[in-house]
Amino acid sequence: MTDPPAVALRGLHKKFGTTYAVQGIDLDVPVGSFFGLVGPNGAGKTTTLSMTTGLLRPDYGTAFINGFDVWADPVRAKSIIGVLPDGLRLFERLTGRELLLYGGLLRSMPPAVVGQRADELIHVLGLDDAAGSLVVDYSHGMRKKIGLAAALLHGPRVVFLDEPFEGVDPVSARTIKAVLESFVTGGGTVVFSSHVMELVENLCDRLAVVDSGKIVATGTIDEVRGGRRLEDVFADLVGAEDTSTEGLAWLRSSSG
Amino acid sequence: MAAVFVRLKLRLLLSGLRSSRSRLAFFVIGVLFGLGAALGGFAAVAAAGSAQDDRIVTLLFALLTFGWLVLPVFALGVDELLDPSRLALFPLTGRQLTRGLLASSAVGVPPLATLLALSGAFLGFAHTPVAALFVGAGVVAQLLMCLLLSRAVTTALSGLLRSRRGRDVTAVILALVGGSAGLAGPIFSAVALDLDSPAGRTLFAAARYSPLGSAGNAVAAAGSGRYGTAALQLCLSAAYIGGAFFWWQRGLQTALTTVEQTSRKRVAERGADLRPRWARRLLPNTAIGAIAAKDLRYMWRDPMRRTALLATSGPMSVTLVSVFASGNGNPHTVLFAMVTATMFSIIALNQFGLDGAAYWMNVVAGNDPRRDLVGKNLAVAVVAMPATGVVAVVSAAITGGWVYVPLALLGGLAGCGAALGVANVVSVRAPAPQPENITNAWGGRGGGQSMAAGLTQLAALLLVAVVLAPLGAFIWFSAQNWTPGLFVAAPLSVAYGALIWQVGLRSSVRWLWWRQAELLQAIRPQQAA
Repeated sequence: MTDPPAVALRGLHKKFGTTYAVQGIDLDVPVGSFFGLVGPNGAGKTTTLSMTTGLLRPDYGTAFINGFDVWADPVRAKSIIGVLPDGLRLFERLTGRELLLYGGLLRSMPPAVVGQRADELIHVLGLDDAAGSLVVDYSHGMRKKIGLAAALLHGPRVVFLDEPFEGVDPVSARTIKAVLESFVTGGGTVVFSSHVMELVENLCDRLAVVDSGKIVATGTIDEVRGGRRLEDVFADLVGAEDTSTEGLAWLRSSSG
Repeated sequence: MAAVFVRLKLRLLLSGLRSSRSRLAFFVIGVLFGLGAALGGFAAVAAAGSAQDDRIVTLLFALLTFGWLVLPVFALGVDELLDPSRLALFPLTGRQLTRGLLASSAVGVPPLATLLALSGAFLGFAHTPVAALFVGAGVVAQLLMCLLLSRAVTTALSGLLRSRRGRDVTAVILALVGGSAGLAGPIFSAVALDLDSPAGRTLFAAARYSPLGSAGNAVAAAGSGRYGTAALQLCLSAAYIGGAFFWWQRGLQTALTTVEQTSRKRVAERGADLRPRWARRLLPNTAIGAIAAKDLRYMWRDPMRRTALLATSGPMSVTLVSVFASGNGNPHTVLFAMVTATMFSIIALNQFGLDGAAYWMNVVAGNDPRRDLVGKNLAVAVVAMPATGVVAVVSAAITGGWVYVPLALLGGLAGCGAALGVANVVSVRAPAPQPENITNAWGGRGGGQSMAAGLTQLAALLLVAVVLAPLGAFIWFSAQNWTPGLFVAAPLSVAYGALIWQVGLRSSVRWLWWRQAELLQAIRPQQAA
């Protein structure tokens, strides 16, 4: 029997009020892949990731991590995932280091191991100077990095990152990329959402394009791209029209 | 400009009510409650007109305004549906912004109920058309004073809470205000019986010339035809209103343009511990210990929790002081120390709401909700029990009732256990999202939500009281009439507290086990908008 995929989504549905955020998503993410979930704003990427990581209950459908059902067997499924959610609400009144200790101890790891890994992650991510300050004082990029550290601390097999590079400076982005690449090289699986096509083309080996709560294309980068630029394929898939700025005459005149 | 603010507030209120049926239901309850209170106030103010005593209406107005001053801080918060920070980028002068916010703050159940209650003055005092004019001006001035004071004071206190230096100052101020609030009722009722006593005269003079009662006194003067006095009182009132307006405006500007001073550079000690140094012996170095340690750190570092703790401890210390003062050195009063633990435990009523959206960390870690609850309870107990000990020892030193200290502590344990048992159930079944408001730590809510949160808390407090009543009655009866009963009461308290805690814990763990995702959705601050 073949190993189960790292992530398997089956018939995920979610409705908020009268709006369907996600309407029937099925997806397999093979073990060891660097997987991009792309789509325009409001396509349902965040909702999908939240349902996959046990943070938002689907109306129908479920998600499997390495074959464990997130909603029926949450303890086992959650023990092998790391998450960097959208909005990045952290316990801001802890210092960066305290936040990592908290996350590790929550997962019942031995305190000594937690402390050692926290120090290593802090060092690799370049947070040595900030580790003793409250997270509330962190810049956006620092928050992403400490969030990433918290997601990796327990040595997960699959990490889910919602817009990990959004609002991050190029230097920090490079650090984050390096950490994630070494994670995948070691056999881990990364699933991340983004709407920056260039990034997805560079980093990912597979992707899925989400639009209006459905998957409109999935496969390896080359399969989806079909020899064109990913950005053009993406625009075709989500039905973007030529943008015209004719009506904005007042914006172009300096007197306004 | 003010009209735009009012329309915006109405729009926000209506769409909030449309979004949830329960919110609408609580809003209707709030309206009914407000209407009842307003009619009662209306009758009282109108009746003061026929009392042949000017002083009564002045004191009634002052008492009402005093309520607006202290209730937001200790119980209700202010209705900041229109969050000033969202308006900061519009090209508005500070004055326009403040004026608009003032106008919008008049939209809501409490202001309208206050207006209705104050309007009783037309019936009681507007005997001539000229008097009616003065009464009208007095009523409007008093309402403005209520609105401005509640806003200006909470904004100023929030400013203090944000600055490191101000934290301790705030604690003292809150304790003092809480103290006066606790004592105001008894003093008022004692003095109202005899307004000619020296205390009565002082109180009246204070009310008359202070922002609390100056407009009320204008109404009284107009009622007895002393229009000159009425005009002077109104001028005084106008000056106070201007002052409060300016104070609020300045507080708002400061809040919108300064950043919270959170931390001095903390030392990044390698191998440092999540647990505060003093609590390392008390807390295990496990998941439960980490959850407790995080909550303990938050009690000190998070303005919201600090506010909640202060709001509890301020009035509580006053109540205790007055109990001990009126006990005339009776050693039995040491037993009252056990109430301290219960009061402190009340902070747990919304323990998950205080965590807010960051609670995802616990959910995604697949953490057993039992550990969440036990850890959080532990943090409360670690603070509440030493506080109880201090109160017991101090009161024993005053009254000499050392023999009652152990029982006070064991009873405190029972009070802590029972309150936490109830709080665990309430905090998972009826969590309230905490609004995020940078200008006002007491801001947010409104439109049915404050009513929902308030009623939930009130019901929970009643439940705690009911649960603890038999034990309290037994201890009190034994202390008064049958001393051997105290030896039974000691182990009984512990067993009883433990039992209630266990029952509450089990029930909430069973509920929460499959509903962590739902709880997380319910406590996101967006829900409070």
